[in-house]
Amino acid sequence: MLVEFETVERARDGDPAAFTILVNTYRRRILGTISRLIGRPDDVEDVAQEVFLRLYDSLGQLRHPQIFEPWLYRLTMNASLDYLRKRKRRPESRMSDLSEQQVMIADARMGTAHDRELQEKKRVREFMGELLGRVSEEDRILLTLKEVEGLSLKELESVYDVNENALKVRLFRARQRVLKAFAALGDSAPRGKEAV
Amino acid sequence: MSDGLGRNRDIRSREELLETRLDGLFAAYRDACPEPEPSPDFMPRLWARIEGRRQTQEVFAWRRWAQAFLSLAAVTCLLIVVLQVLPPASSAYFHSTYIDQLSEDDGPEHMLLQDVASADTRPPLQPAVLQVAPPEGNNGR
Repeated sequence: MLVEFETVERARDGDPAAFTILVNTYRRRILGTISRLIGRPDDVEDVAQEVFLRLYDSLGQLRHPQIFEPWLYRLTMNASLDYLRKRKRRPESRMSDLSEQQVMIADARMGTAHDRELQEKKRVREFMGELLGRVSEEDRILLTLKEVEGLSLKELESVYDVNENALKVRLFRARQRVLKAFAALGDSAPRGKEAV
Repeated sequence: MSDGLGRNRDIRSREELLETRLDGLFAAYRDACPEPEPSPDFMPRLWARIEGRRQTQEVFAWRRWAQAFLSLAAVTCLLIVVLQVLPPASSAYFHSTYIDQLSEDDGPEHMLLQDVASADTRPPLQPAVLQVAPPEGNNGR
């Protein structure tokens, strides 16, 4: 825990100063998690605001301050899930949608090695966005929490409130679906970490 | 036979390769996602939204109360109107005289009067006559 249980209890009892401490302590971590879950840097802060807003509304229902972190992760997961579902209904602008002039400007910008690295990272983000967009939002979030965020099975059990066996089954199925989508995408994949 | 085994081995090795590449991609994705910095107005914006939501909830609470009150008032009005419109069970109740009512009345007083009347019509009690049997032995006298 990054904060003391007493701070969580005070925030739960309606102390605004304690709530501010909670937000200031966790916001960077939550922003990072949301960034990896939704893959859209522009909207990360809005989703984070929604998470802390939901935290403020639901903190009174938290019985034990010990489970504050899984609770916060669950709120983050749900807010990200809602965002992804909404985004599915909105059209997304991609490189192919840009005008020729805009593409030329974008190409001209990636000259130096640093820019190339940035470009490669962008490619990875776009590819993963494409790959994870081919499976359900639930699979996407579960796998991101496990494989990218690095949450342990124990932590995921508390976040999802399911037992280990059920969680393993879910993880296996989600991974199988992503693998299937990965195989379908074929050679367009950028080189991952093992190739670096 | 060996051809089938070879094909299975190919499929398995391809799956393993895909798994490895996917793990590598997840790791690359972790590095590729920037750690976003919270903007300086993150907290003020959050508190403004909390306040805004709280005010909205208060307004909604008042609205709920007002709606409940209005519904109750409407139901009461409806009930009163229905009671006014419906004809009374018997109009004679309002138009008959006191005497008519008394004559029709089956109330307790009437029952009492009936009791008294029925008591009066009973035959009067006869005094008991004692018939004394003559003593034995005086038969011949």
